[in-house]
Amino acid sequence: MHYSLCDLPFRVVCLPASREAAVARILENLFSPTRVRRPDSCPGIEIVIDGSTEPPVSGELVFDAPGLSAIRTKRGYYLRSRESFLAIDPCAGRAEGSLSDDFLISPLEEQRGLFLFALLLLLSGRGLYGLHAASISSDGCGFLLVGDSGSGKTTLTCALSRCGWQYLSDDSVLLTRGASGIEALALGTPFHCSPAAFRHFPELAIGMPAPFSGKRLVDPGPVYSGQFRSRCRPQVLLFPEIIDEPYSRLIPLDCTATLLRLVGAGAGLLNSREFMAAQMAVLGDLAKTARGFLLLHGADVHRDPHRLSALLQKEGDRIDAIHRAA
Amino acid sequence: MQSTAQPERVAKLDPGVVSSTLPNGEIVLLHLDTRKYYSLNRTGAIVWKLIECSTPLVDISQALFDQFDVTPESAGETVRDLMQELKTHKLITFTESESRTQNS
Repeated sequence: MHYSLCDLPFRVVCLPASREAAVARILENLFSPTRVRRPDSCPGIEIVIDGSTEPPVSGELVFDAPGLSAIRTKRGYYLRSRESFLAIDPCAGRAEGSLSDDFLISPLEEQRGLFLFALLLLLSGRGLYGLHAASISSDGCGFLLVGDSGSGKTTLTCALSRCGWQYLSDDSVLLTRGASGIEALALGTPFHCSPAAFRHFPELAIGMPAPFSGKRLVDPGPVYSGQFRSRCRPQVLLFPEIIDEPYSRLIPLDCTATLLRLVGAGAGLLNSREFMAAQMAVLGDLAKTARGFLLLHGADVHRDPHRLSALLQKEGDRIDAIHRAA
Repeated sequence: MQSTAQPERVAKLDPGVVSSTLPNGEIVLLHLDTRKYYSLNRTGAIVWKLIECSTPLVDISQALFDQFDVTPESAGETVRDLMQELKTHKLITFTESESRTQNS
């Protein structure tokens, strides 16, 4: 199977080929790569699922969460989820491993971690660096919402999408150097909706089985129709924090505080040491060219999202004017 | 008059550290091995740039004395404290540099 992912040729090989459909379903639902019939160049990245038996692995355990663990090895990383595994060689742009039958029929939410981390590692070797951030845009001005789980990224993305903003992702983006500076690229479209998000944005729950707990992946395409964007140029960096107040407000951050927060969000991700220096350079350039703000978001996110939208648009317009003047 | 060779103490950047200099003159450091990150204010950034050039510690103190309205003792203390902190966080190591000929 040949795809294009973030403009990179991406090849997926399944042995036996009978597993292709299941793997394609996972990748296409999670990351929306574009199918390509005849690739016109060698694959930029490649995942080979060959049903091999699990090899002995030695290295440092660097990530261990329910459903996913990662070991740093001499050649890269070894990811394990349930009885499935992928050995990642970021320099070669190649992942190789095996997926269990249980994994292939498990919910998308449980399949996401293995493939997301595999792709982030593979893409970092091709100059695309993951950032734990939502991304939205208005009138061509890109905004990143950078924060941990629970900081309100999905809530803000949904609230602003309701106000007509364009969205890239509610959870993670890729940063890269584009012709006009640092660009953010969408990696996967599903939103990560908690039961609370479904209560506040019931339009996303249509067609979802109920009752449910935990986060569910929802395709926002049919709900916020025509509002998806595959890339944007981030000019405003927002670091959201929930406050128990009626109105949201912005607190400007200097570029040092902005970069420290960006590095905190980027360094936490699994990444190969050899590519972290380049990632740091990209984050540094982003902090120099975009303006950072603490976004203390209050009850108006739900009660009056247009007020928040206007507040952000005003700041975006101001920064856009500064960039144009420069 | 007699010439003696005095070894000079020089700080060396840990090879696992990458930095980004910002328009406000400050620097953000990331240690690739520990994945910890730090910021240096403008004074710290001047010291960091001098460390990058393998400047002996005594000359770094002199540079601060020349650039800021401080006493030589205060400049020396600032450099010593910062060096100690950088070393504690494994951002630098110390070496003895090539000798400097001194007349006595």
